[in-house]
Amino acid sequence: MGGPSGTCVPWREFERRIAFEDVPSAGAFMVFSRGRDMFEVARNFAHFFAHESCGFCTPCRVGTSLLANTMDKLAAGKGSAYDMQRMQTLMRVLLSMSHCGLGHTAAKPVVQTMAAFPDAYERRLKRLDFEPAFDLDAALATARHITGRDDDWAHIVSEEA
Amino acid sequence: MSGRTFTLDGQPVPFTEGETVMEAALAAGVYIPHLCYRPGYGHHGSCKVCTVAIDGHNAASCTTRAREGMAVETATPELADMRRALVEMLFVEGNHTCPACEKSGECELQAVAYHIGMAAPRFDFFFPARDLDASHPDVILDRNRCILCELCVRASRDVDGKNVFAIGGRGIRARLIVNAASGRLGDTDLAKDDAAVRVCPVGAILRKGDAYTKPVGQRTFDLRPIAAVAIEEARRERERRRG
Amino acid sequence: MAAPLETASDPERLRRVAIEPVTRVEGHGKVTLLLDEANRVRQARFHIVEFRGFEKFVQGRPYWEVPVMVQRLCGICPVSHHLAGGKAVDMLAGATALTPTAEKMRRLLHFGQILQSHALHFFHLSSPDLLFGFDAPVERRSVFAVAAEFPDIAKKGILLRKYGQEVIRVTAGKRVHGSLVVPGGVNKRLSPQERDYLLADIDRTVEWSAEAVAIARRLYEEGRARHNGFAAFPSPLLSLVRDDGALDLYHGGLRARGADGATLFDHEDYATYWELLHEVVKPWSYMKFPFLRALGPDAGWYRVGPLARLWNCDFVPTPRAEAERRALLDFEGGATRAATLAYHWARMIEMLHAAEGIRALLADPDLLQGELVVKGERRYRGVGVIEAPRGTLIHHYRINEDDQIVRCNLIVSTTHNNEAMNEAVRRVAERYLDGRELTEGLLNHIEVAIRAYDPCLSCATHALGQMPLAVELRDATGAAVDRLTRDADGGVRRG
Ligand code: SF4
Ligand code: SF4
Ligand code: FES
Repeated sequence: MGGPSGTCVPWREFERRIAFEDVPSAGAFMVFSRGRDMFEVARNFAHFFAHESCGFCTPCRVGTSLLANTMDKLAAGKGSAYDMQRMQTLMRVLLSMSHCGLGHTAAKPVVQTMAAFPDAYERRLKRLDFEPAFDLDAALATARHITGRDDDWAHIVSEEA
Repeated sequence: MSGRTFTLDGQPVPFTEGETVMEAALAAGVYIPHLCYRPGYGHHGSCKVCTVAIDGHNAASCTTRAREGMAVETATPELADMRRALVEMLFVEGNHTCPACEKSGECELQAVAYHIGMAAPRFDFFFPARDLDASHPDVILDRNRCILCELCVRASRDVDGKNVFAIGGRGIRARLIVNAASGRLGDTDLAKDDAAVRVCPVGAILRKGDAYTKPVGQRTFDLRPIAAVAIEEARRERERRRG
Repeated sequence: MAAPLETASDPERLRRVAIEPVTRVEGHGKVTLLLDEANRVRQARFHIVEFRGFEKFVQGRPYWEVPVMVQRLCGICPVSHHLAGGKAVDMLAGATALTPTAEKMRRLLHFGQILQSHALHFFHLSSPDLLFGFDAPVERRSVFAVAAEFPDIAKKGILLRKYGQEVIRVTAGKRVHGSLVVPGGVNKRLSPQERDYLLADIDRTVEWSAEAVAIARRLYEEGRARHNGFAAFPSPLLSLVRDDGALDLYHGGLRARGADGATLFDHEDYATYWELLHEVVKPWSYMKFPFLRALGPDAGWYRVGPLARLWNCDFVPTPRAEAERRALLDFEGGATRAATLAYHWARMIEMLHAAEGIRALLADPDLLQGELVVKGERRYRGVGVIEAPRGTLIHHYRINEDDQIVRCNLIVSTTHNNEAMNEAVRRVAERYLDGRELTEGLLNHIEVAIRAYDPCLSCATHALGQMPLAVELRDATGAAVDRLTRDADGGVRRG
């Protein structure tokens, strides 16, 4: 909803409403079929923001590129739990320290897809040295905090563990 | 004394109309880490290292005007962590090898990193390919160490009246560029005593011939912590303006 | 004369024994022994991978940065690189003669480095072996065993090294990665307090250094037959000497003597060292092989370092070290000239010289006053040579109009000794390799031979008997028939 920095509504939440009170749209929305890999969508958006960053302030100039690079690392199957933690840090820095709205929201696609489609991320970690000790749900606390959510869908239940 | 105050971490800080939070804090003897701010060189606000929480919202203290009664926090664990992350970002963005750098001990980035207790950066290094411009007879520009603070841009434009520097490119590819058809420092009218040369907080703009002439132990930040140096610098600037 | 190393007529058919230090630290060595059908060792190859990419790394950097930057690239003797680089940079800056203060400050720093390096090598890395013998069980061959059985020696060793480090700290500002050298001079002189601080312990430093020489000498004498013969071979020698022929570790002209002791060249200006020394590249090694041009690539390899220096110079300019040098030279009709293990003895004599040299410098008022820097006409080529703890060290830079490095060549001490170490290993293997079986004894002996040259390899910074090595024995078809590994904790396992 509302472009790359908008709100990501997963299929489980399709009963929500497009309205100022619930999901504001700013007049634009994109629909991704279930066949789409939401990790790749988020990665694409991460590159979009890195490209759009004007470069004036440190958090956005460096943070958006670090985020895009980390997503690339995950995509290459080289990600680890540590990278997930680092992305949490990057999200906090972007949100709280950036100069303008672009930086504030640049991490949103990653934050939201991490929360809504944890499997898409977890799958990539598992390929290489997945550390079971890493609690993905706990690591998502920041993501929940940033998006202001604490509903069931914002938590990961590790069924497979 | 106008008697106007705000609080900084609970302590009252007096200010005069028009002053920024940073200026008032420094005048009151409180150091807020900063890199792109320098007393006398205007208000810029790009590094974000000076970010504080004002009534619960983050803002750069060097560009935010002080207002009566505002509650400013700077020494919170969250802000401390964010500042460390920012300084780490500046380190990984360029190519910094402090032990070999002639600015070591005189460098504000390094001194701020010590001040805020930065250890090794938690982010991956970019190892960017950046140029060194040694074409000027008296000055060297090493973009490997530039943190894009634009102090030299402001100094050259506002103090020297020359406009030698600008920032070119966007995002992570932003670079300091030189205003000459060739793009080389040697083809500008930059002089070695220009404010633009002296103002660089890091080892990006350096005078030739000065390298390593100050022995270890006698360099600026060997002798005094950056907080004391910055407070002193702000005091001198206030006196200069008062005339 | 030693059989040339590369003489095996058909190296392809030789069996190979690879001895490989297993180390996670960058910079490792590996030894390959090539055997003939009769299981005789015909070739030895000590592979060294160091200084990779340095020449590239400094390209484009302003030249005055290099003496400081080079310190980062070698953690083993950073001060030597700082000084050799500094001398090259003096030449670039057109500074032909330094002020007395600058030269003496640099000499002081250099003596400090010699003292700490030689003390470290002798007491920490080699003394267990020398005191207990290199056939002693591995548990005994450690610094801890030395500390337990010879507490006095161990304590003095630590304090000697510490004194050297303090000299470095006071002159260069820090124990590591300090800086003293600037183009054409130095950045500081000593304060009277700093001078007094160093003076406080200098007498005891000289005494203990003299005791260390006595220990090294006694140990050598006690095992004379073995020490004279172990990995012993005559070779040409290279070092700097002062104008009057004296030992000078900081500055001088190049002198080389042949294997027979005859002078090959003398007082040559090192600024054109390439007219005297050439380097060849061999396909199996990253390291270059320098040789004396006058003798050619096959016979022209030589030795550098403490033993070469003491045999090369006419005298040591400090009295006690000179007396000790005479004893070294006169021992059993000059047997030490060829003896690899005499390096340890020579190293201690140099340590004594450094201690005496520091004492003399500290009495010199020039350290406290006087100009620091001289300036001159900028030049495009700079060469700096010093005698580092391990031997002659050459730095050579070329710069462009804008003061940026365009080319850099280094010949480090370990490179000069490259072929000598191969020969030492070959001698040892020839003597101690028994058939097709690799033994811990052989491994230890090879290590002892390499160690005597104090190579600047990260694997060599482990204490003796703890250099991580993997030994592999291959037959003529290339199949491994035996493998012996020693880990960094000293434990040896087969396979
Ligand atoms: S500019 Fe500062 S931070 Fe960068 S290498 Fe030099 S001393 Fe270190
Ligand atoms: S050269 Fe120095 S002053 Fe100019 S933008 Fe870069 S870091 Fe700032
Ligand atoms: S000092 Fe305030 S943003 Fe840089």
